[in-house]
Amino acid sequence: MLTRRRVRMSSLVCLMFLTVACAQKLPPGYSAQAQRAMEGHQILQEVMGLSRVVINLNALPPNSVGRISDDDTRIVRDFALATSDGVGRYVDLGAPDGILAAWTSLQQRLSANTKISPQVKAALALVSTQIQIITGVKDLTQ
Amino acid sequence: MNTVLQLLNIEQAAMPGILMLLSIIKAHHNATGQIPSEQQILAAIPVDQQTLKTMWDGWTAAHPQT
Repeated sequence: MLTRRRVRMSSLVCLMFLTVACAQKLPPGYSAQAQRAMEGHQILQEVMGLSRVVINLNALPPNSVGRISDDDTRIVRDFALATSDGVGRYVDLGAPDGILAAWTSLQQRLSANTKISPQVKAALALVSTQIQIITGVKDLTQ
Repeated sequence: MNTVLQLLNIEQAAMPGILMLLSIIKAHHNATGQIPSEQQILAAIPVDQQTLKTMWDGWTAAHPQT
């Protein structure tokens, strides 16, 4: 039965989905490659956001609460650059495997402490959402 | 009547996303006088890649691995 609460919830779900979906989609007339470029651009924007967060947290004084180690920062750097290459491959060839491989490697290598940092966690969530949209892989957690 | 209400709700929910997309295109149109071309969209990727590389090159130079 369609209650007011269900209508509000379904509207909220539609709003969230369509906001993300509309931000991903170009008007008709653009090629598939342009569509992939739009998606790749979104991913790279989120990866840049993650990069800024991690670099800023790494810049905290040593022994500060919330500081990200140099080792973990290098891991995020490797992920960012690998994703950048992966996006190039995805746009040119339609193959998202490089993006997925970079994400898997990040999940394996990044320390638990860094993963639970609220700022890093939020930035990772934005990145993983974009990767899910591109790859259709529902569960990117390990 | 319920179907009409459901459709109106969906349209209401979709409107922010549609308006956002239209505003992005309009902003580009205002800035350049043109709707982004295929080439402009494709050209954004190497720019993003270079920005990312520059960001990390700076950090790597400041943090040599011991």
